[in-house]
Amino acid sequence: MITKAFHSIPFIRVWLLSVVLAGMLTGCKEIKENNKNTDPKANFLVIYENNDFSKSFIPIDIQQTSDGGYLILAKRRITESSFYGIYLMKADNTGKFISGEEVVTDIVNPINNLLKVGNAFYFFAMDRLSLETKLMSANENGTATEVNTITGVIYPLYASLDENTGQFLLQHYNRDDLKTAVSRISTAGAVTAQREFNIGFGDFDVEEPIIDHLTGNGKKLPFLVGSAGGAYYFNGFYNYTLSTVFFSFNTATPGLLQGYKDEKCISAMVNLGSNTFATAKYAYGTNTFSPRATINTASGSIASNSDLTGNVILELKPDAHVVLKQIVGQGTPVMAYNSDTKNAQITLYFYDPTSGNFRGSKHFGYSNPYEAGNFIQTADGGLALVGTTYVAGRFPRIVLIKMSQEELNKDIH
Amino acid sequence: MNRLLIHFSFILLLVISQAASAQNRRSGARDSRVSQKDFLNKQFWVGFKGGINYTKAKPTDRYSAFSSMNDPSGDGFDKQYKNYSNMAAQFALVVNFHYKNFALSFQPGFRRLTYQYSNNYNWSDPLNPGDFLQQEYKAVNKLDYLEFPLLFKYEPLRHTKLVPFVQLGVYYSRLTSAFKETTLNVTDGASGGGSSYEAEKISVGAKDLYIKSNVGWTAGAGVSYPTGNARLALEINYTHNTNNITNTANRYDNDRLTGSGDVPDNIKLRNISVSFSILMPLRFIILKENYKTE
Repeated sequence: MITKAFHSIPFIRVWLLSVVLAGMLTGCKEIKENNKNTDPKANFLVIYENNDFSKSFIPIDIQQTSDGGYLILAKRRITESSFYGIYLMKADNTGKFISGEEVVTDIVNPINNLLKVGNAFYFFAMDRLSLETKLMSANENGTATEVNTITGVIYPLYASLDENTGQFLLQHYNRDDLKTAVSRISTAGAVTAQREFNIGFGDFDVEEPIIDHLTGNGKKLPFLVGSAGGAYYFNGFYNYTLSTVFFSFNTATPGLLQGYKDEKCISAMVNLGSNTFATAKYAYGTNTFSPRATINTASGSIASNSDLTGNVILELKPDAHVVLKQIVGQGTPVMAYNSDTKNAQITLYFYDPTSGNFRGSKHFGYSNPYEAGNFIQTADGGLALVGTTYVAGRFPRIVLIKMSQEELNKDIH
Repeated sequence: MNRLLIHFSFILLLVISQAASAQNRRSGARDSRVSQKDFLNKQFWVGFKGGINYTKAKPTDRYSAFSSMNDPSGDGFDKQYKNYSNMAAQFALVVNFHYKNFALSFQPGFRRLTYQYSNNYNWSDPLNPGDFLQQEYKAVNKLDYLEFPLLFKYEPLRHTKLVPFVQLGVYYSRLTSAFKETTLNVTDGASGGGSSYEAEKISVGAKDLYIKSNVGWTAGAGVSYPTGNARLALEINYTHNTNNITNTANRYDNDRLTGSGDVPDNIKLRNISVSFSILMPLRFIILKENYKTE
């Protein structure tokens, strides 16, 4: 047998040449491809570490700057108040830390969201002593400046951009009259419209859960405010429950999607046109995503969020914080739900906004706990997610996760 | 550089295959005209080799999942590599074609490369010195390769009892598996602890963190000693990997590692190996009755 093998050396030679040559060519191609994949801007995960034992940072929102870098608005623990202080951070386009500003502790309670108007950025916060709302601006280098104190507007809860006017919508709590208020505010910090809604009197106490929400010592409540077509909505305390209210800034009777106390609530929503919404809700701990729901928003209408059917997402934390946005994936519109899992991961769920069909999911984090903050679609078609990770299991730090468009498309089917 | 290595290895392969063909033609004739001396001057030797090796990982670009808010230079998160500290093993089939003082050698085999690095993280409270936490992550990385080296060998003193030789060549390796064992040692002053303890040990498959190909060159020296019809040899080789073996597309894909701040640098490997081999003339294996040593 060995003799036979010996005599077949020409055959072995050809075989050997072919195999080794094929291997070398494959290897050469792989090495070339690997060298090409070194774009540090496309995919990365960065944890912003601070070696001070007493510091904690919890990101609220992220925006991309014109240089491709990132501006991150975060809360930080301060000793002067039980409310969070403000931290504004700039990272370059590879996620490298550039600068961080610990805003003076006279201004506290930065709220969602970091709002982009042109190349300027704005956010709302609160005066530590008077509790009045402050409109803050931030430049692309991550420097925060106070724009205006909005007199008489206290306890800011949630802010968004008004698609109808280009101004800001702010939900706030009027503790003196026990009302939830929504104000439309210009970029100069002037109130241009306002409407208040009765919360209710008696034993129904909303102040304690609101303060617990703001100080991070209790349940995170899903306050929202936004525009839907020409109308507006907010998710907040109204008529003894945390409900979704559709309204205009005139005196028309609002439409109502009723919840139950703060135990059965809409947790995220995006208008898909007319009366169609993508929503997330929780009810007694259980979270449900409804990627395509029809809601009667007409003046005077009353419905219950119990009627919204959808997909029960059992892996999410009870009454989970959910950020919902429409993005583009695989060249098509996609609804992206960003939330927290029971095993302390950040998750993304993708749905088709037209059919409501599930299109994929993605999880981040494993060894240290991760919590979702917010996310944006980046200029290169990828995603940038910001969240909190507990380094060494105990130090709350900002984590920035960048997914390339290619990575994102891999997770959307 | 990698392209040059591939061209060089291709030429070596052609030469060795032509040599094989030439010997085959002669063996077909079993030519009695070939003198015993010529016979010994030009022939194939086959055998096995095995031994131990030590690896150094040379970082060319450093990466960390951490970016420092205190020290934007970020140098504090650089991994500290411990070079040539972990023993691993290799074995191979050896096919040598000798011509006088020269030989071409093809040595397909298996090699495990093991390298180690550590990361240190410290937290302290400037106002409360007793509140501190120190963590040391030690990562041992084990990479298994099927390797295909082609070597050119020179024996300057062929007729001494101990035959010294030097060799130089190129190789192509293919990754078959990779593992990472991470040990976390903690000193937790804030919880009242003053001494270090092992808090966690995780072992994960890490094949996706590396590309499959590993190319480079190798050089070495050794001595051989004839015993009976066999030849025993002891050699030491230095292997120099010329491409980045980290899979740049998957750098952040291992959530378990990335979550603890561990993302791989771009690295090239250096390896020192000591091997013992035993070789027999191919003709002796095939035609024992015709074979006689000098």
